[in-house]
Amino acid sequence: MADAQAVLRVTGLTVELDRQGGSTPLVTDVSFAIGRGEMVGMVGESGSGKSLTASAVAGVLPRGVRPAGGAIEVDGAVDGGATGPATRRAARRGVAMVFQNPMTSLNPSMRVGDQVAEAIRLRRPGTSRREARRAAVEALDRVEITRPAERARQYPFEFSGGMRQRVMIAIAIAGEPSVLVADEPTTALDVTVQRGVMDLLDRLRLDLGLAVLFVSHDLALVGERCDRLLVMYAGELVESGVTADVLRRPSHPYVRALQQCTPEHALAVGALRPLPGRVPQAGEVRSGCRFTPRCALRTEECERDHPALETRGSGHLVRCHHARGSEE
Amino acid sequence: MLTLILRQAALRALAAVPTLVVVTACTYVMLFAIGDPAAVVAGESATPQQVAQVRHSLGLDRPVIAQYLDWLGNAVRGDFGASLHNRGTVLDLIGQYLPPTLLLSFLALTAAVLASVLMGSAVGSRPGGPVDRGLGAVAVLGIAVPNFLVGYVLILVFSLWFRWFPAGGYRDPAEVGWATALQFLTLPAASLALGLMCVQMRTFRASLIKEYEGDYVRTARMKGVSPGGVFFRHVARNAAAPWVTVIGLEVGVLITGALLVESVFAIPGIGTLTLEAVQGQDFPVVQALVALCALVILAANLVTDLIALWLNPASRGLS
Repeated sequence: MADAQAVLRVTGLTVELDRQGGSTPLVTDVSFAIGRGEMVGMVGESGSGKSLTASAVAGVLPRGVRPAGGAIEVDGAVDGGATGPATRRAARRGVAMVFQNPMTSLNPSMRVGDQVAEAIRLRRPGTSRREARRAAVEALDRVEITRPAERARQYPFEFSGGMRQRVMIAIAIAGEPSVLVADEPTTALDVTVQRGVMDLLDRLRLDLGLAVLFVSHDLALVGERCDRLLVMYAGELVESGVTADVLRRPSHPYVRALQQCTPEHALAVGALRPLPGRVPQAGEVRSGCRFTPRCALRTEECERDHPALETRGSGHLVRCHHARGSEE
Repeated sequence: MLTLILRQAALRALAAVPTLVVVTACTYVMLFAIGDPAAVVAGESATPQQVAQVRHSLGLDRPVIAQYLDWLGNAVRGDFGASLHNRGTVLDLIGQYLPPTLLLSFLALTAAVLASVLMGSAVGSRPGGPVDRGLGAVAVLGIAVPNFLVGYVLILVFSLWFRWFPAGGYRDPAEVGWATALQFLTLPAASLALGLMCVQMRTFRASLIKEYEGDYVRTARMKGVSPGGVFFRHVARNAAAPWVTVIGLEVGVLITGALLVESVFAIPGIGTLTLEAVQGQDFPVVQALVALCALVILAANLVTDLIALWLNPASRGLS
């Protein structure tokens, strides 16, 4: 990736949960960059902090959770992230987001076209109602919804899951963003519908030159669609690099374990190897490597020292004391 | 959408007819079971022969079913008969006692609706704060304490101690002007409104909190909608449906509440008329009042159902 032309640059992002008598870090020191027209996958188990990272980038962190450090830079404009109404600034900055559950992400009592038009009017405050409505129909057409003018007057309950996700995408691109965050956009959809939505995202990112952060727990899907890959564990990045590199030569034992518990791997070797244990909960972070309790390669060093994210070859970063030793 | 709502209105109005028939029929039979209108008309000093004569002349010796059907036939034509105590026709009597009750209920319901919207949105958008906890305690008190007791407390504080409002009675606004009339209505309306308001406020608060957790709120925030826009354009409408339903149900509470509050504040309204009619076994009046109550409650339910239908597009496809 040409780092100099990055559209989205996240540096040292830390997200915390505010509690009485202190705060608990949920995401620690996450840095990455995405270029124009590039799709980067972010994978990890539930609780790894991938959705929070995505929400922080789009400025829609849940109540009580706040960005505590680092910077999010879009098109060169820096956002400290820690102060002010981050939400509205994120939209103005040009970050849009598509969420996991299309069934509940649309307002049930508002016409679909009006929901798209609202985003258009917020992006271009001078737009008349009529003009925004016409642009909304165009946006629906762009996400391949048939009979868009008629569908714009309908309510979300008249749409299927896949169609609602297309509406969500229409809302997202109506704000003319330069960055699109897609948080498991196809997880709630069945496989054939999933393909259609993924193809649409692919086409839009190329047509509009969007920088896409694609969050998923589906390694196979990410491997198929994304240029680069970020792997999260317990709130921090543990491995990142060009998708093909990472998936063909995974350096972190966590990534290898993830691969071994996919159906694809099970078919290849004839056995499914589940990863024992669970992701540590927020607040129970240890001093050494966070993966130690579940790791087959753990040593005293892992218990003691927190490994740094180190470069292994071009653009391939790994956070493991034994990364070198694991190379074939 | 309008035609759909109108069609729903017609259908539900039609469905209300059997309910009305059943309610009035049950009342008619029950009234016969607990008293004897012929004895009431004949007077206390009448001999059994005189009572029997009155019964025959009024047609009260015919089967109950036949009498009820007669009543129903007349009622449909707008004739509810006359008071047994020579107080004029039932309709005139109701017309005479209705305005104070209408005014009282309207004031109480309006006050409750406005207050519940304001307080409900204040605490529903920001639950858990000191204001929320304070109003929560008030609400529990307001729901738990019966409205006639609230009435006595208000009389004690605002008319006996502060002497701001009269302790009871009613003045016709057409005669004494609205300023004086409202002075007389303030305390009764407040004691009636408190309970209604507290239930409404808690309902609105709860549904606001639920709606704020909805994923579509996050979508709106993602678009860059301001907090005010999120409330008015997105959350409020979705949160309103349960609250509107509660208001509809409260119309029934309002009727029984008015009965008690009217007797506390000595207001010559429908509640007072009902008490008098029941105590005096004035059967035609009681019968008409029950029919009126049933009609009001059915109408309130119909209206709230239609509003809920308008608020929630997904439910329009059903039924």
